[in-house]
Amino acid sequence: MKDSGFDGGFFSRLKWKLYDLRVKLSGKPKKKQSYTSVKRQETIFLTLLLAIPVIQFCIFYIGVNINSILMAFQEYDGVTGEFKMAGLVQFRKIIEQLGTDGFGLRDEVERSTMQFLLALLVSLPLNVFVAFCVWRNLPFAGFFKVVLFLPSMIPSIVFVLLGRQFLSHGVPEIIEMITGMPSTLDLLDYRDPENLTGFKTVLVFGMWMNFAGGMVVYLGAMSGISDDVVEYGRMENINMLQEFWYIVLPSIFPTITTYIVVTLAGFFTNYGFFYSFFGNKASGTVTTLGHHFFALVAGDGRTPAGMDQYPEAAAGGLLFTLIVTPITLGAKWLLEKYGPSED
Amino acid sequence: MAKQKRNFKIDVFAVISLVVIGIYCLSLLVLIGWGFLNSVKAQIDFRTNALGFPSLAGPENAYQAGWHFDNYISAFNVLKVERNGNTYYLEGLLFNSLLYAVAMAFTNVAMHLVVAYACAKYTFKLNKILYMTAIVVMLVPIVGSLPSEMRMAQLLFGKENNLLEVCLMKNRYTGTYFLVFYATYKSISWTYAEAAQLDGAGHFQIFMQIMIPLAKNTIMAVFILLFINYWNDYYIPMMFWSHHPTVSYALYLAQNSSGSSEFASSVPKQLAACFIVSIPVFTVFMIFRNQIIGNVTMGGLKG
Repeated sequence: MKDSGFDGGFFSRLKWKLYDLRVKLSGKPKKKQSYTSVKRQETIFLTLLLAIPVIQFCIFYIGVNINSILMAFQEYDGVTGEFKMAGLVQFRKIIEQLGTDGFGLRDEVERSTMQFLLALLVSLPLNVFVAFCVWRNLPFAGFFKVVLFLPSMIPSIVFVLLGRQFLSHGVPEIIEMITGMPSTLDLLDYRDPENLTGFKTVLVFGMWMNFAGGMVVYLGAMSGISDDVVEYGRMENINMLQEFWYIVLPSIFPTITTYIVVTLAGFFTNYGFFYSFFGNKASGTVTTLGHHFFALVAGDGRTPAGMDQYPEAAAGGLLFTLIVTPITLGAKWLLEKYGPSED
Repeated sequence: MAKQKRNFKIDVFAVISLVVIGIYCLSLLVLIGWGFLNSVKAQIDFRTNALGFPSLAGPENAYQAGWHFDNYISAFNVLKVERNGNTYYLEGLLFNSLLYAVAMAFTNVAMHLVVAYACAKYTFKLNKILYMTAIVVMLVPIVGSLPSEMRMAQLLFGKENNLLEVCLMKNRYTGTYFLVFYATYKSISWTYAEAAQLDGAGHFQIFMQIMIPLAKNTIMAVFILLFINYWNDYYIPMMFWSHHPTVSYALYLAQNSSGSSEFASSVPKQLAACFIVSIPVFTVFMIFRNQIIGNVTMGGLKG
């Protein structure tokens, strides 16, 4: 206060004197705490802050996964209601199914691959493209922003119900209007292992629903791009495609990498809209691996499946985790090493 | 997101973009419009005239044609789920959804936020381990842990879980939003905290009174996104909270039931229920859309 060059009147000086007195009486500013005391307070704070998340993680991630590994080597005894060790029985079952044509896991691997490739090669680029168009403020961008969000906003089960009714009643009527003949086309036929009609329909439906997926995160990443860089590009007269390729894509590539890695990681778990459309009815005919293992546990959704299915699902999970983990980590490494950089 | 006025220049890429997005938006609106038109039809009218407007009704066919907005009232009585001797009608299902979505979104935000804040702003022994764990959990896809999770829930909490148990079980700190909050707190200067420390503020005060308000836009955006997500979710309620059915779960049950209930056999009433269920999330989104977009930024998976 003394150094502030304050040159007020009597009342101002009195005010500051009173302030000094108050600080002295209240003990503020606090006397300097020792390093140990500061550290102790910090430790207490962090312990309180992190206790629940860390304990939760230990029980419901580490504990669950250790139990899952154990379960993969067990089988369920229906008489005693207990799980007992059974060696590699469940793994043998899975490997046998992988080697069987027809309704086995091998076909589910194929269908999961199709689903994955579509997500990676079509949906992901579309998502980035759509987010870029909205960010770039195309005409009607505000309107697009709301409509494009509808699939993320309205419950997917609502769209499934709308889609199911439209495909079952609307599409046949459209065909009838065009051809003049009654149509018996069933685009959701899940009993047709040859043409996979139901599978393809739901796959396309999923892609259509996911057209603007991840928009919130991509727009967030794009909002971090400096206006100066964009303006510089404009002065250089680059077109919209060049702006996307040379400015936007490198800037948001870490976010894209995250999405690619998450897509890869979901290879064996993604059941898309299959469960919503078919529940566990379509078992073996139009299922993917994710749908198969989910339905093993979830049953028909009304009552959970019996516990006798659990060890098989756990063994399948362990086996596929061992396969997909190195692929995911390898992809991440490659993308970081060879992907575009902001420089 | 700061409003940026970008000079728009029409080129081929822009035209193609407009056409593609325009067609997609139109397809969405057509499906929704089709759904709405059929939600106000009589069941017989829907069966014979799925594409057109509701048929004109006369005194002799009032129940088979015309505009049936009363389907929206009937939906409250015919969409029901019976669990443990209780019957949940639409209003009960909506209440369960609200409770579930708010509780789950709140717990999820809290779990992610506190760990992200600690990792971004403090140097302590567990810091790197917690951060790396979050990255590794995202990178290493654990397949098929659901049976173990179900078993664990049964062992720890018994056959039926309450909402608090579901929240604790399903909300780990190691999700995408950990990265979002981590990036947010990394970008916030610690100077504010230092100034508060000089004034005698403790760590808890700094967190509650400075750091949470500074990140409130992101927190709000994530909370709303999660609320919408959980409102729409039927998997978790189906597996872990099925004795308190939510609306999404009820719709799943209704459309996959082979029963002959009034709801299952009346497509217009199913569609009317769909629109009722969508109104709350649509309203939330319209109110908060500017907060949602532009406030969720996620870095890469550096680790």
